[in-house]
Parts: sequence; C-alpha cells; structure tokens
Amino acid sequence: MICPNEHGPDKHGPDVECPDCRGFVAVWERLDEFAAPNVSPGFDARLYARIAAEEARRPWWYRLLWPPIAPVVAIAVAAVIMFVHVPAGPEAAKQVSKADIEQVAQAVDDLDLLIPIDR
Amino acid sequence: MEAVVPLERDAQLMLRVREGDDTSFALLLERHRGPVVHFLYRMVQNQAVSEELAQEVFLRVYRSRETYEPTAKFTTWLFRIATHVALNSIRDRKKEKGHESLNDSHDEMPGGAERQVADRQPTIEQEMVHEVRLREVRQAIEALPAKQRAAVLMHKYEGLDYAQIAGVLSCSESAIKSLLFRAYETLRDRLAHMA
Repeated sequence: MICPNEHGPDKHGPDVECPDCRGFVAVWERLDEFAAPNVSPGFDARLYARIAAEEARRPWWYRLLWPPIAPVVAIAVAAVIMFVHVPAGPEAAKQVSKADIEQVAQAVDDLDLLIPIDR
Repeated sequence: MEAVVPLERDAQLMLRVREGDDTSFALLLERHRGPVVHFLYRMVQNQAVSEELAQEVFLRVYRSRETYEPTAKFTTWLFRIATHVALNSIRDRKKEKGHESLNDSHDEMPGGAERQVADRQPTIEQEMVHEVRLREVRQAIEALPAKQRAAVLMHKYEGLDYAQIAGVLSCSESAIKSLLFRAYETLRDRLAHMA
C-alpha cells in the first residue's frame, strides 16, 4: 500500500492513525473484492500442444543453434570452411579445384624426389 | 572480493530449461501459471482472453529459453512479458472496438465465480449488493490508464515490490511510487461512495 507517509496496511495494525492511510486502506479493502477465477483445467494441455506444434514447424537446422551444442557446431562449420575453401561460384570452384589438385600432385611428386636425397 | 549472489530458484529452473530440461519448465509453469493468468484477467477483465494471453506469455518464455540470461529477477522478466502482451492486447482491442468496453460480458462473474462464501448463504439482497460493488471496483480499475492499472495489479494482487514493478515497466522506483500514489488516489475518489 502506498501513502505519502510511507505507511501501509501491510505494516499497520487494525487501528490506522494516519488519515491518508485510512483512505488508502479503504481502497485496498475494496480491491480485495475483485477475485480472479481459477485457471481452466485444460490450460497446460493447450499450452503444451502449442509448444509441440511450434517445435514441429521449426526447420531441422534450427536445432543446431541450441546453446549446449551450438559452440561445437560453430567450430565444426568453421573447420569445414577453413579446409574446404569454398570459392565464389560453381565454375570458379571447378577451376580452383583443378588447380589445387595439380598443385597437390606436384607437391607429392616433389616430396617423392626429395625423400631419397634426405636418406 | 565480490560476493557471489546465489541464483534465485526460478532463474535456476529457467537455466535448466535452456539446457533442455522440460520438467523445469513444467515446474515454472506450475509456480507462475496462476499469478500470470490472474494478472492478465484483471488487466483485460475477460477469462478467455486472459488465458489466451497467458498462453502467449508462457510460449514466449519457452521460445526465449535458448537466449535466457538471469540478468533480472525471473518474476520481473515474466511480468514484463505479461504486461507487454496485455498492453498490446488492450491497444489492439481499443483499435478494433473504439472505446467500447474490453469485456463483452461485463457482468460475467470471475471464473464462473466460485466465490468463497462465508459460513452462511448470502441473501439475494446481499448478493446484489456484492455484484454492484464488484462491478464498480472492476470499472474503476478498468478506467485507470493502462500503465497505472498494470502497476496497481502487480502491487496489490501479485505482491511485486516497487523495484520489481519499476523493472517491469522500465521506470525508476520513485516514478513507480508516484504512479501508484496517483492510481490509488484515483481509485479512492472513484470508490469513496462505497466506503
């Protein structure tokens, strides 16, 4: 309850001396008459049905954003991006892939040549 | 050294919901279903609408589980959602119906009202007097500006303190005290003849 003198019925006994408080206590008591109804018995069932329907509508990948696994997913995605080097378009991808393959093949050949020298 | 403040029970439950524990959500629902529905009922004064809005509140809580951070008291956060939902609903209904009353059946007794009657059966006259008084209280509350109404309902019926109401309505505590004082003063004037 509120009163300019910072009093309230929750802190007062039945004998309210402050005239401001007396007025507010009367209002407070009037407001007690405004009872709220009980919640319908089917409330929870309806809510869970709505939650289930909403979960079912989510795309599969949305589950990957769930906090406990999200960091793992983020690291995995970053690793894939780092190692795959996806180029801008499909044509470019083909060209770069060919160049990469040739480069790797050349490197392996060079390695083969170097091994006997080291030995 | 900074003291470590233990997390309140509700925040702990909500963090468990974030980890995928649906039982904790059921516990939160059990604890807060009543207060949220009652608050919304008194805001919109219609049982069906209040339950629909409460469903929206808990749905939003569930949706937010993944991003939940216990920065504020859980109740404050919950009532912020509830107030937001209620104020939106009131605004939408005002748009739809002009300034017509929010409640189509204003004479509807709360909850099909299983009113708790004292030891003896009230007479028809007592029943009628009660109906009139109740209607006047409801009308007085409904006539308050929406923000004042929300503040009074959280303060009077849900037991939220000034700091929590300030958190819900994004105001300072002193602004809330002043808002509540004005609201109670208005109610006192409107209900004075009932004393």
